[in-house]
This record gives sequence, structure tokens and C-alpha cells, in this order.
Amino acid sequence: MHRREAVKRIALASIAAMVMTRCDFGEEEVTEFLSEGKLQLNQKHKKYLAQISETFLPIKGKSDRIDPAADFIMTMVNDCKSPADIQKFAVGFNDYKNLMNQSSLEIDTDEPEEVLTVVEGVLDKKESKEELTYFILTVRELSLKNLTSSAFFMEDYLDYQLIPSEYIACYDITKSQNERI
Amino acid sequence: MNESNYDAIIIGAGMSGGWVAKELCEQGLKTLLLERGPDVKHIQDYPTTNMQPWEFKHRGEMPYDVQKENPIVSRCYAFKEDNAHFMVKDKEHPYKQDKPFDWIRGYQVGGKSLLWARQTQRWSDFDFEGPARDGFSVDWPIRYKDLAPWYSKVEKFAGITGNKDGLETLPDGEFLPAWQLNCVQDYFTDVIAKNYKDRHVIFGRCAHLAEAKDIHREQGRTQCMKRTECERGCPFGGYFSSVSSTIPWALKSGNLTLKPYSVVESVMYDEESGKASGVRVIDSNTKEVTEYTSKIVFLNAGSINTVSILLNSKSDRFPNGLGNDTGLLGKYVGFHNYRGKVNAIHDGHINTAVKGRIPTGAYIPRFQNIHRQETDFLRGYAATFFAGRSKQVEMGEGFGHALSSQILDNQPEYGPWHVGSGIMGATIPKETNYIKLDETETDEWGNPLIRISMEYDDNDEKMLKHFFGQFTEMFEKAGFENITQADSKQAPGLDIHEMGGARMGKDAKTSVLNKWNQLHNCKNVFVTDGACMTSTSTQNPSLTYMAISARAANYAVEALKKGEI
Ligand SMILES: Cc1cc2nc3c(=O)[nH]c(=O)nc-3n(C[C@H](O)[C@H](O)[C@H](O)COP(=O)(O)OP(=O)(O)OC[C@H]3O[C@@H](n4cnc5c(N)ncnc54)[C@H](O)[C@@H]3O)c2cc1C
Ligand code: SF4
Repeated sequence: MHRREAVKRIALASIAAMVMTRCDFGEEEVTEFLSEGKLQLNQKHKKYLAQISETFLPIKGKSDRIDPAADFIMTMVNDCKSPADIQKFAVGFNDYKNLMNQSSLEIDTDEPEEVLTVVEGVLDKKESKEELTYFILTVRELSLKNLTSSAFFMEDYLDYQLIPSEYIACYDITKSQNERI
Repeated sequence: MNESNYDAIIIGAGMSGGWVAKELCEQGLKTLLLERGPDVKHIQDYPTTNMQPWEFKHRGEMPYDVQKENPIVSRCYAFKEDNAHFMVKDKEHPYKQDKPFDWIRGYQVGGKSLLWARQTQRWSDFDFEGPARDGFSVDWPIRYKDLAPWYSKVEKFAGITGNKDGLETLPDGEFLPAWQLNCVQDYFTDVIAKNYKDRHVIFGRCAHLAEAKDIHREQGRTQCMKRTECERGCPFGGYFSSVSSTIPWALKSGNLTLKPYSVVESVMYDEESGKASGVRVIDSNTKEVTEYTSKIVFLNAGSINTVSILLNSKSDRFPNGLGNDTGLLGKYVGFHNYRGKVNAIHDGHINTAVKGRIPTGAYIPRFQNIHRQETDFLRGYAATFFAGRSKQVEMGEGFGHALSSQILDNQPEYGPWHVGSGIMGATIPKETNYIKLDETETDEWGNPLIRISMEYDDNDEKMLKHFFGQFTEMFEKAGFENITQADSKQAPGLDIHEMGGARMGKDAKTSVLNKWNQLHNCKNVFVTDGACMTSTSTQNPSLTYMAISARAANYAVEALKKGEI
């Protein structure tokens, strides 16, 4: 996506938002992602969600001790969100897909900057559709959670150990880089 | 079906029941331990114990449906993905709240001893003498000297880590060497010592093996590794639970029969002998009813369940429940007021942090109304003191590489020290606070639903106000900043220290149990869980339940030998 195209999309998004908020989006619009009130993603959808997450928070190749984000996002949305929020997420996902006009469900990952310009534009606009904003923020939040609660981050950044080797009640943090939480 | 013939039956395989089992079995009594929930075997039945935080499907969060179906237990801080299987779900075991009461339970072998926070303090005579001094509730029939040797016995076996602090308000015990408090806890200790003669900040005594002695190794337990994942069950046996300690010990004697899935419906009374003859049990799976007979019966089902079993044990002699000639059974229940928290930030000690973890904090014993009545409320409160500092994960701003580099290119920095205190206030057991049985509705096993009514009173409100004032002042003296006061307004129950309902006393007209925890008018029945508590004081109660249980069990063995019961 080229920058000019991206800017055009933002304009479209705000127009779409105005239309969308007035429009009653029925089940039909979201059945692609919803089944019996739960998010139901096929391999293609999951791949798309994984791409979105990677675009929002690029971590590819950092470590094999981070779980696949799309699986985690799906589990958390389905198990820990209210039925209304699951519905909101699914509608937002659909809106996102429409907004990006990705009928093939592919993002041109060479140009994530443009995608992010669109996304940030959506968040900046007060009139953006609630479901779309919710989807974007939830994917961002859960991608971050997936990273910061991963074995990679907890061990390498937070020095977490299930069985701490030692206990030092008053530890001088200026003296060593090897602190444990 | 009728199954006989045990020397003793214990109802409830939790914290107090485990102690009774150990004491009776060690002395050769053929003992039946009945537990309504499933068996939990040390180590093998701790399914989550070795899981890393990232191995939990929801990274610790409880699923929406579970929370929605179980609003009561969801309010408990300990109800998490790693130990939810040890906690009773509201839906499975309903009860009625005449006044809001969040009843937190653990129905399994081990009871709530698997889940507890392991804080253990002895009572002193200032606590036992409280009711006699201010006239609310009845006088305790025992004093500190009656319980002191039993506290020692329990502490040595269970393993309690602490310091000998030499405080008259909080007697010292048989301690394993304590860990060190951290710099900010030490600093606060000094500030308080300099500013107040009557206030002390001490290491929070706890049921952990800071050092394993021979008696602990004999139980198959080893030193606490300070993982602080205790409520999953500890593979090292580093903390005391009935599952890691007393129950396997009792089983080793060959005198214990442990029957899980056994819901005790009632204690049977034999009109001819004037004694209890045993218990009636419903198999929790098949609903089959079995009667077991024994010479003595111990009730250790957890205060509220114990009272309900007694109320449900009706006979011609006791139409209102076993031992309930006075109508007092189920009344004068109490709890602890845990509503208040004072939190703050400490900007000092910026170059220090804690490396590793310990499973306890600091404790501030009660300092009000010790030698004389000096406040506008009766009795008093103790408090916790927490100080900690952790590396902060910044959630970053924006999207894309800008976001990931904010998080991954920088090592997280330590945030400021957070400090806080929580009130642990005594409540006055009142006649209007009660446990009763519903007259029409029953549970899945045909037992009447329990009705609970407990509430705070003016004394609690005044105490809370005092706590906020004093702790704000103490925090200010320490130079802590951003001091906030929070009243959670939580319903009684979340303290998980429900007490009373079958109180001990000197007089059968005003109490249910005598000084040996026998029903005044049915002497082969003993109640040694929290139901026996005449007043609540401020200490975490379980150490006292365990000492009372050991004492009563040993008395029962002697009385049986002498043919007195
Ligand atoms: C999260 C948490 C933190 C806590 N922290 C502390 C602390 O720091 N310090 C402290 O002193 N206390 C603490 N407690 C409280 C402590 O756990 C209890 O005081 C203690 O376990 C009570 O012992 P008990 O034997 O009376 O009851 P329990 O340990 O609950 O055992 C009662 C047993 O009886 C069984 N039972 C019930 N009804 C029947 C029936 N009809 N038939 C057969 N069996 C039955 C139950 O299933 C259960 O196993 C805490 C509790 C929790 C949950
Ligand atoms: S802190 Fe100690 S008792 Fe708790 S789980 Fe760890 S080793 Fe076990």
C-alpha cells in the first residue's frame, strides 16, 4: 500500500465509520468470524490475525520461547471476554478487513508503515466505529501480553525463576546486572 | 448400611481435623477421618505445582464464564488459574445470605490448609481476657498457660519460622530462624520504634520450613525454596498443610481410615446412653447413606459447616440440634475486619531491591486497648506491612517497530518501592450474627441449605477510622508519599476467618462447649475448629485452632482411658 493510498483509506475509514455506526450490522456480517457466540477462525483467518499482530508488534525471529500470538489472542478473547465483547471483537475484525480491503486476507508486509498509518488514523478519529477501535486496541494489548508473559521475556528481561536460587533482602542494584525479581 | 466400630470419628480432613487425626492415631485410637471432598495426595495431586507462569492457558486470568458463575469465590484474591481446582465454586455448593457473606471454602482432603497464607501468631492473655474485661461475649474458660504447651507442640511439628520478639502482646514460640526483612521494612521498623513506644514491626511468623529439622524430614518435607507458589501445593512440603504433614503422619500409624467423598449429614445421638453413637454419612457420588459408630466424635468441618452439622443432628433429647439446649448454637459468630488498606510510595532506598522472594511479610501486632480501654472502640487490630519493588514493564506507545523496540531494546527498570498495610481487626461476636438451617431448601445431598447473617457494626467502623488515621500518621513519619486510604467495603467472609457459633465458656447456660471443647451436655462430642472460638481477637486463627485441637484430642484419649466419656 502506498502512502497516498493509505491516506485515502483513512478518509474512507472515517466516512465508513459514519456510515457503519448508523448501520445495523447483523450476524451475517460477522458469521465469518463467529460461531455460537465464539470467535471461530479458520487457518486463513488465523494467519491474517497473526499478521495483524506482527504488524502491530513486530517480534518475528526474536525467540522461539514466545507462543504464537494469534492462538493466544483467540483463546483470551473467547475465554476471558464477555459475549458482548467477543461480538464486538468479531465485528471489529470484519471492519478491519473491509477497511484494509484485503479480500485475499494478505497484508503487504513490506509496507507495514502504511498499514499502521491507517490504524493510527482510525484511533485518532473520534467518529471511528467503536468495534473497529476495540479490535485494534485488543489485538495490541493481547499481543503485548503474549510477549511480556512469555518465557522469553520473563526469563531474559525479568529474570524470573520458578525456584529462585537465593534471597537477598537488601540487594544493591547498582552492583550487578543480574538481579532476579 | 452400618459400619462399625471406630474409637473415634473426625468430620473434616482440613487444618484442624488433620491435627486431631495425628494426635488420636499416634496414641493408638482406631480413627475414621471423613471428608466430603476428593482425596488430595501430597505432590501427586498438585497438578499445577511445577508449571511456569507462561504455561497457563490464560496466564493466570480466570475465564469470564467461571467468574460469572462464581462471583463469590471470584472475589477472593487467591482464586486464580493455578489453584482454582482447590476452591469451592459457588454454583456447586450454594448457601443463603441473609446478610451479604462471601464464604470461601476448600472441600478436599487438606481443606483450606492447602490454600492458606500460612501466617501464624499465638494469642496472649490480652486476647483471652478481652471478653471478661469489656463484658462483650462470655469469658474464655482457658488462658494462655493452658494453650502454651500445645502451641509449642504444633509449632515444632508444623515448622514455624519467626523471631523471638519478646512482646507481651504476642508470645514467642518454637521458631525456626527467620529470613531477613527487606531494607524498607527494616527502615519502617526503625521509624516506628523511634516514634512509638507501644508499636512494633516484626517479621511475619509463618508456617514455612526456613530450615528443615529431623521431625520435618521424617514427614518427608524439606526446606522451603521460597518459590511463593504455595497455594498450588508445595512439592517440597515447604509449608505446613494437613496433606503434607498431619494426615500422612496419621496414616503411617496404621490407625487411620481416610474416607473421601463422605458428606456427614449428622451426628447420631443414643438416647439410652446419653452419648453420641456415631455419624450418618452420604456418599457424595452415589448418595448412598452409611452410618458409622464410634466412641467419640470430633467436628472439624470448618466453623460454619460444623455448626450446621450440629444443628442438623436432631433427636428427641436435642430437638434443636445436638448440644443446643440454650438456643445458642449458631449464634455469636464473628470474623475479622480486613476492609482497610493504607498504601504509599517510598522514594528512598533507590539503590536497593530484593533479590529472590520470601513467602511472608512484616506484621504489626495490636497496640490498642492493651492495658486499659483507651479508644472509642473495643478490642483492636493488628496490621500487615508490605514493602516491595519490581521491574516495571512499560507497555509502550504506538505501533510497529517503534513499539517493539521500546519494549525489547531496553531492560526494564525498577519502579519505586510500594508500601502498604492492611487492617486485621477483631470483631465482636454478636447474637444477631448467626448461622442457621433453611427450613425448606436442601442441597444436592438432601442437607438443609445454610443461612448466614453477619455484618459490621459501629465498633468496626470506628476501628477502621482509627486504623486509617494511625497508619497515615505512621507512614507520614516514615516520609512515605502519595499515601492513600482504601475501604474495600468487602462483605464479611473474605477474611476467611469465620469463627464461633459453638463458643467455649465456663457455663452451660451461656456457652456450647466446655474448656476441653466438649459439648456441655454430650461429652463425647468435641468441636475444635473455629466454631469453638469465644472471641476473635486479631491474630490469624489457624495456629490457635491447631493447638486447641491437639489439646482436646489428648484430653479425649485420657478421658476415654479413664472411662469418663
Ligand atoms: C486464601 C486463604 C488464606 C488464608 N490465610 C490464612 C493465614 O494466613 N493464617 C491463618 O491462620 N488462616 C488462614 N486462612 C484460614 C485457614 O485456612 C482456616 O482457618 C483453616 O483451614 C480452618 O481449618 P478447619 O479445619 O476449621 O477447616 P478447613 O481447613 O476448611 O477443613 C474443613 C474440612 O471439612 C470438610 N467438610 C466440610 N463439611 C463437611 C461435611 N459435612 N462432611 C465431611 N467433611 C466436611 C471440608 O471439605 C474441609 O476439607 C486462609 C484461608 C484461605 C482460603
Ligand atoms: S515458598 Fe516454600 S512452601 Fe511455598 S511453594 Fe515455595 S518452597 Fe513451597
